[in-house]
Amino acid sequence: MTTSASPSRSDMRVAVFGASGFVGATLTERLIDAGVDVRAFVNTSGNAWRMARRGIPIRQFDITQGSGIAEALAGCTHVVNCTRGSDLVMLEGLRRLLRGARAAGIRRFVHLSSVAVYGDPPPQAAVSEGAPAEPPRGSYGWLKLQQDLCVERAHAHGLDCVVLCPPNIGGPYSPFFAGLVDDLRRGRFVLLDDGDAPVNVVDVDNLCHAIELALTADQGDGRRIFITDGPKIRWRDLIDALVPLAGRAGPVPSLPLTDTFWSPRAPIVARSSPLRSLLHLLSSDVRAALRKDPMLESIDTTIRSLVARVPLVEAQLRNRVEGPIRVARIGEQGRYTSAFSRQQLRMVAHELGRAESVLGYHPERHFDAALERYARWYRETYILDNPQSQLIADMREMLAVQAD
Amino acid sequence: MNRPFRIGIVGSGAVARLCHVPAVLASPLSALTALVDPVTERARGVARDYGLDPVIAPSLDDVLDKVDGLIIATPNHTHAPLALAAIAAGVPCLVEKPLCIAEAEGQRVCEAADRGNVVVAVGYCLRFNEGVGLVKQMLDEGSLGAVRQFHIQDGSVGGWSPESGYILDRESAGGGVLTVTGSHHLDRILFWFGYPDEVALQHDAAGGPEAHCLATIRYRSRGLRIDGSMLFSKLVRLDAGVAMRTELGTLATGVYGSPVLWRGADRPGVVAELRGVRASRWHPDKTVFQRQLEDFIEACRRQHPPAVTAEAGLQSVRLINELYRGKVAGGATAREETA
Repeated sequence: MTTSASPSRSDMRVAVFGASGFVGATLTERLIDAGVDVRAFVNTSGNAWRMARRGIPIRQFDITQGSGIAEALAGCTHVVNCTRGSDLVMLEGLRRLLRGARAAGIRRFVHLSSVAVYGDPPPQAAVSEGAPAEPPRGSYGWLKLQQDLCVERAHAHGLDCVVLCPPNIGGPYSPFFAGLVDDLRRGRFVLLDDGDAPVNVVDVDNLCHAIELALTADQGDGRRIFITDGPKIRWRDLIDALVPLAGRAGPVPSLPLTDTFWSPRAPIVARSSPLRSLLHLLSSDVRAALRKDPMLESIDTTIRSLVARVPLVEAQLRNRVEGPIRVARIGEQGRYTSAFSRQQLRMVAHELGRAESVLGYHPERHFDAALERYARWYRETYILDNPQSQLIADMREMLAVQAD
Repeated sequence: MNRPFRIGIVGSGAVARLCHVPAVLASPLSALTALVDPVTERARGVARDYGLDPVIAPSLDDVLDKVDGLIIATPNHTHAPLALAAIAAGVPCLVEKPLCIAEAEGQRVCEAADRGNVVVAVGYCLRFNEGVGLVKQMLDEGSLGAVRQFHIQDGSVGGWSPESGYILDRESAGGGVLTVTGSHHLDRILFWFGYPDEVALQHDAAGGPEAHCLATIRYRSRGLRIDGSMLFSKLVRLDAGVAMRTELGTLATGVYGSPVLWRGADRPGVVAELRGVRASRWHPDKTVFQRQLEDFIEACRRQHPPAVTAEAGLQSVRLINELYRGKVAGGATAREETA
């Protein structure tokens, strides 16, 4: 498939849902700048400042409410779904949106998935999109996977869908980059093996470029397509570019990957069993909550006084219910609390084969150029070159002392 | 013992629901007797959520004889007209910030309040953080030394979301992030240093309200020589804080009630927390909204000025508008725009 027979942008009216978010706002601005007719939908007005400052009309719409979707989509030809939120928004909201889009005769539905569907860390096979996606139930990746399955079903039922699958997204206003700079500044981030692992990142403009290609591609296939800045970027490349913005003296610390601290995390949801649930109901946490009721408190007090008469039974029972006393191991690694450090364990570079063949995607902006642009934006936005910058740095340092 | 001060709240949006109603209920000095909102169902919803049974009315006129004072918590452009109506009926009011949009209407509020001897307070609630008063006290005592620089910043990705969404409408809000977020901090510097001599504003507005701005503030009279800056954003998170460089050291504090920290120039390796010796006027568990309300009630009962008077509120609006106009040295106008 190619983009050669793509519809003209002047024929399109694009409904962007989640238009106040990081990607949604960037996309909306780009489409408007390109002369595309855009209808920007937001959930609440509180986050819509980026568009409001340019006078871009916004419409408040709750996708979890079924009513009004037909009216909202009237006259629209394309839909881009950039919404995020609660389980209700992500699952029921998406279902309603897909039903509404099909009923409205939408020509193309572009959905943003996430590499989180492959779990964390992902399997090595996740270099390509066909890898097994088995994220822990209830995790963000699991929600995104359920979304992908909904979109795939909608595609099978006749709604032409394209599913883009980005990793962490960079560029101006990126929460990922801002979080990394913050963690570097606070000394929370540590490189593993000198940052030799691949990092999957996509500049927000490259992602929006991919969305634009997805809007005009000949045909969607309803299956995930990785969109990144390219496969040969390493963590140290990214960190080297961000360190000057953190204003931190000295090199970024590095730890060997073999350290046991960095072993993959335990599954988010513990395996359930009736006995585990029963013991949980007897645990001190649950009893403390129940004791807020006077009658239950009295019952609990009576039972505890009876059990306390037989010390050995009491000790055995407590051990059974609460488990043995655990002492957490405290090493120097504990100071590196950045959640981003762990992402270096992912070790997979997602490839762009499908993006190239299905969409004709090549990054619009090279990684180095994207990082340079980000640095310029960051310096201006956070006034790093202002005469007051030393005072601001001192303020941060003093407040950090207080926070610690 | 005084009977509870009967409060009517005009507007039943987010700030009323989340801040003012809890303050009225928490205070032993007050009772909520009326809720006014043209959308009466919204007011009923607030009353229902808190298990209250106040008078619900669509118009201010319907409750003026049922209250001892009003909290005006409506979209910004309605503050001054509602305050004037309350003053005309002799009812004191605590007006959410800003007092007004245009200085002329604020001036009318001040004059009417003076003429009628009616208390008008303005809702710059951050004034009721202990640290703000402590810094003022130390500045007045001269114990910090001469101030050379200050910086204040406060920013979040979006945030406060009024039910009517009016803050994204420049006409209704009176401005963008400078008005919505920054005005609290402008009030703070007016309280600490008085009115500045030169101001300038860089912002990102391009057809709507600004979402990110940098204000430059200079003091060059009354023996002051201070270079200040204020950065406000609705687009990025900023480490919210206040910093001041003086001839004796550096002071830093958070913007929402955190301790006041000091690093003396003679001992740069040590950060100390500053505390006032005098007992606080307020119980530490009282929110700034409860403190503000009780200050207003005491002002009404004792007929003395509240902590933030209508005149102070008008000064703040004047400063906001001068920043928007871009007052610089010599009175020239320069409204810079960031890329």
